[in-house]
Amino acid sequence: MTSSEQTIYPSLDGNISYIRDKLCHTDDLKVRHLTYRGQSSALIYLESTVDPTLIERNVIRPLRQGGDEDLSQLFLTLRLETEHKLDQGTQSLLSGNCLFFTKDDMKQFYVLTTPAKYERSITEPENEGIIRGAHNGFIEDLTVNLYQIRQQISSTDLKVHYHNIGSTAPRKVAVMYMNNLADPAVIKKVEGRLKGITIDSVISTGFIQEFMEDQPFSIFPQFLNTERPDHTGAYLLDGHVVIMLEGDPTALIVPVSFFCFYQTPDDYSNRWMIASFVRFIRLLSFITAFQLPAFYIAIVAFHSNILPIQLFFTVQGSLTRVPYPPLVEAMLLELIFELLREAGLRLPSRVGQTIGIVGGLVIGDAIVKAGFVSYTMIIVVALTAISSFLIPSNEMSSAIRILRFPLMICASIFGFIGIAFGLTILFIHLCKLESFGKPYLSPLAPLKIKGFKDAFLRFPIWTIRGRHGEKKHN
Amino acid sequence: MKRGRGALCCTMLGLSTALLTGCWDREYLKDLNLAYSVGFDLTKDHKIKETVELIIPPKTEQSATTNEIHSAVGLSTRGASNILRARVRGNMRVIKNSVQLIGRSLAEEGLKAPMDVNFRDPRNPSSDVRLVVTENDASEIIGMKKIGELQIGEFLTQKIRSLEKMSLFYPPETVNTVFRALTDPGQDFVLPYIGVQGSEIVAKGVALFHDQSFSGTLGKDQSIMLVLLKGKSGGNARFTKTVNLDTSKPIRGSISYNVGNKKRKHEFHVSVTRNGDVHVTLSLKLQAVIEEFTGPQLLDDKAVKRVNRELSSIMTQEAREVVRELQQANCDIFGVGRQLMAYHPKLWKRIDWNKEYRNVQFHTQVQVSIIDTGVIQ
Amino acid sequence: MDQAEKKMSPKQLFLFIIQAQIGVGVLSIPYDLSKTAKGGGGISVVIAGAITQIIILMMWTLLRKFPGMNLFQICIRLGGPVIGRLLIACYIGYFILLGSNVLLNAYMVLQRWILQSTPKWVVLLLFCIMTYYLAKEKLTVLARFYSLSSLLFIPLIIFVSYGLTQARIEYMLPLTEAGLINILKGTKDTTISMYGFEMFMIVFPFIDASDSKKLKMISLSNLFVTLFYTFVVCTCLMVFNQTQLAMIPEPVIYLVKSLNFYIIDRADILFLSIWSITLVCSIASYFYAAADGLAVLFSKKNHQMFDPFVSVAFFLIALLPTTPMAIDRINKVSEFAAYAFVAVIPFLMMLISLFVKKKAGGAV
Repeated sequence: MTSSEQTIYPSLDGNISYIRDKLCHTDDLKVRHLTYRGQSSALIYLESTVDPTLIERNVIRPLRQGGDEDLSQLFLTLRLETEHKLDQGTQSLLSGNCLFFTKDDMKQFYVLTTPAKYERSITEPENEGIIRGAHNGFIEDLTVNLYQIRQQISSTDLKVHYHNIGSTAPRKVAVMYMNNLADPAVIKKVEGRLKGITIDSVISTGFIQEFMEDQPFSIFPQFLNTERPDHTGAYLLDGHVVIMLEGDPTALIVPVSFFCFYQTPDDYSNRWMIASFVRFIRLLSFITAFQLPAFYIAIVAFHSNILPIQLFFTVQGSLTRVPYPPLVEAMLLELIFELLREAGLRLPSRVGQTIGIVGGLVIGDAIVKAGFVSYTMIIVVALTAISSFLIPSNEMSSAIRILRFPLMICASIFGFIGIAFGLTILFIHLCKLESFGKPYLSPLAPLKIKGFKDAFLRFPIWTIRGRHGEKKHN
Repeated sequence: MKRGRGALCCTMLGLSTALLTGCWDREYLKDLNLAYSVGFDLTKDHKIKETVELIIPPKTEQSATTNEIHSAVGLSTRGASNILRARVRGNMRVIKNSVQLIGRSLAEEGLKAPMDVNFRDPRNPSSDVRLVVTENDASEIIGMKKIGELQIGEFLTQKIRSLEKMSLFYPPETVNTVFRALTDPGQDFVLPYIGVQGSEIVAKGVALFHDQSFSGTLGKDQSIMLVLLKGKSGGNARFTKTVNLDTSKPIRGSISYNVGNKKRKHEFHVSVTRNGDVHVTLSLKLQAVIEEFTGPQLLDDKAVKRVNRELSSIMTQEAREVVRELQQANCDIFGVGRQLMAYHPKLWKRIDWNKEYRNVQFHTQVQVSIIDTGVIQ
Repeated sequence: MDQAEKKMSPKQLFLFIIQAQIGVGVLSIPYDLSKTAKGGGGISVVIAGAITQIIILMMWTLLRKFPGMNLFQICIRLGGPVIGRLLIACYIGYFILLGSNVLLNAYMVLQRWILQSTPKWVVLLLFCIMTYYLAKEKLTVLARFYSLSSLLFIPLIIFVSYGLTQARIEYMLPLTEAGLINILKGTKDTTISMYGFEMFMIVFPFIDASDSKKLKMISLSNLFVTLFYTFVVCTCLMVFNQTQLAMIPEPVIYLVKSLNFYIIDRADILFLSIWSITLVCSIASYFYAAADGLAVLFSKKNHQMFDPFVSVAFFLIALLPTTPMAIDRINKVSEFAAYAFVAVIPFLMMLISLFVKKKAGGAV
């Protein structure tokens, strides 16, 4: 990195050729020779990163008309910086700036901010749709995202802190928090871990997540990610810390508890009884989403005597033609379901319907007729699938889908005791998990009855006082 | 890295256990052949004959199950089951049955021995299994295989349950309650008593037990009366009696009434006199709903009063008869002994309850009052 | 560890002690009691609870004299490096013995009721993995898990209370059938279900509360446990008659088995599965205590390196006895060990601490 020390050359051509070399003689590098104060000067920019009308109107026209005024008078609306290191200049070319070299001042050159903006409009994120409430979402531009958050929270306490991460292609990362609400210990941890990231480039927020997690070996996500400004704003006001990456519409929220993954902004726009009911259903889905197949296996392979007698015959009747043990049967169907899900995700939406037909009609019906699996198994897997999609957070939903498999194996070896074993290990793990020093399972463990009001159910908003109880102290 | 490898090892270990060995207590539902109803009889050479109804799962999804009847003779219940297992196809299990029949001959011999396996083996069900005593051999009833469209086990279950609703037998006597009564010196039990008439299975009343063996029976009306005397009701308790309404004009009318679905007042009290005599007060106040009345007059206030009086005296007579028969059979169904144990332990230790029960003086009184005559008077 | 070991809250202490105390014993106390105390079993439990309370008070007076120290550190302080360490070693042995005893009994129950043909080592291994995974963590994690699994008491209590539908009060009467002396003797039979509260001596300094608050919480948990046991014992005494109780070693499970819930048959299978989770808590407490003792014994900062050894010890001790006789002997030994280590030694230590108080005060 010694070349970054290269300062400006005394001659205009020297500078131009240095930059040319530096950018490997790329064709979209444009050099326009102009005259300023009677002397020849050069405007250098990367055609692909700048806004041509902006340059035409705000750079070239003033230069032609204004003549000899000072540069800061000429470029009133553009941001103007002076720089003397060529490599810095080259770098800034890449991010949509143009460089202005004048002959009379060969100690420094000017950097003009003229980036091209091709922005997606602020639309509602597709996988986080809500019924009532704000329908905007984050986009790839960090400034716009910050703007959206600032609009939500017009408070002087909202603090943004930029970091640059990545050694070869650094990207801007913003850390946001409410200065008066967030726990300083958490902020310190977040900043410390961000600084500790050593990587050449950050491709997505997933990278940041994996670098910063307390327990990267855990299956559970320890960051909540969302593309909704209102969701993010609510968490900020709750004293959480938000991390955003330039060029990625995802906001990472820490510290989170398990129950955060089961909440949606809709909960707070619904009436509280309905919201409580929905939340309760969602938490129920947590149980069914990964225990149902295991439960079924345990019953069918071990404890058939817990079935009431009529059900006993029904299930037995559906099983008679199935040649495989329940574990294989369940695995088979679960894997088919995962296949269909993954295929549906990748296919364009028009073809996507075919998957529905293939999955639902062809496989669902034919597989039973062919005698691979039983009808009851189909019911179980379908219920599991539906429950797993009830979880608002995609990451948590995937985690829970994966959890089914070990639990199914446990159930097929030890029956209910196996399930108890699996659940014990799972919950011990959850108890161990901490997200930036905050217990993952709070308010359940450590038990805080007050926290239940907004974790399991949603009590009327006026009863949910303060910020989740445990956030401030300890 | 290290932890990842550890996790991998654990997974491999788990998988290999799952796939290679793990089938210790596994018992696939589809391999089970359920013995849905079981009957026990005593053979002439004092062995146990076990008759089972096996349910065969259907071949296709929608079709119904079928059943097979098998029987075997063995030294004990489990012994007979083991012999049966060698005979029937597949894996015969008694993990779930809803009714067990006991032939009268075996019931006379005592229930402790044949029932032992039910109490002992944790896999055998106990909460919802009805025990029934049959007039002749239990195998005869199970051997009927199908009654109408229903399989025999299903038929018996439904029959017993509907009779329980009619207060013929109530509260339900299951393996559990029988276990409790069998081991209790101060409490006896009764079991439903059924028999075959032609091609039909009919309820005959209840079988009375003393300690562990069959000691008498009660008829159908008496069974309902017994349930009422216990202070219970399965929902309906219907009687049809003929009452003499007018002595001057002896027009006899029959009256059907239900005393099971209204509130009852039941008093059961055990007292001991100074010289050690045991007195039991058993009084019952019933509220009757008239369901049918074929007499000539209207059931106006006067008539109702009269009917009340008549019915009360009829019912009291019947109740006394029931108690008399219970005492004759030495069946302490009310748990008088238990009351003595709990509240008069000294007396209990002194007496021989097996003999003393017959000397207990019951003061039985039944009062019936009509509170509803239907939509017409 | 980038984070200091945080402390338990008083609420967690309450649940922690309950979880440590309610173990495998409760399944069989009605059986144990019916042999001696008969209908007065409930009274025996209450007396046992009162005795426990006295011991708790005694331990508390001992512990509060040495702020910031737990049992092991007090051992060293009072006994000096040699005798103290010897004492710690004894305590470690005691905790391992008791833990593996609970483990063994847990296996016996499961084997009798659900896993009839699963080999012993497999079931033990299962439990060892669970307890190891739990107990190798810091105390706060244990406390979190304990409070979480306390929720499981709700279905358990519901299951048992459902048995009240079959209860007849006459079965329990007369209360003093066995005579007062036998009822007193009966308290001895509850020992196996009562111990567990001595964990209090291990966790005492790690609780975020004043001394009197700690005493209040632990007394409350003792009260809860006593009431819970009384409830269970009385329910069983009212549902089963004496002859039956004498035949059924685990009347609580038998009770649940005989209930009819309409949605599911055989609630006992569910009951036992849930129960096995709360058992893990019980075993893990002993595990933690033993490992913590080892750490103090070898003057190590944390106990993680000793955990595998404790786990293996638990596994082996529980694996060894196979005949009912041997199991019975282990039960007996643990019972007497409990008397010594829970009552006698802390009592002596308390006496000594009274004498050396001035000296210790001077030294500090």
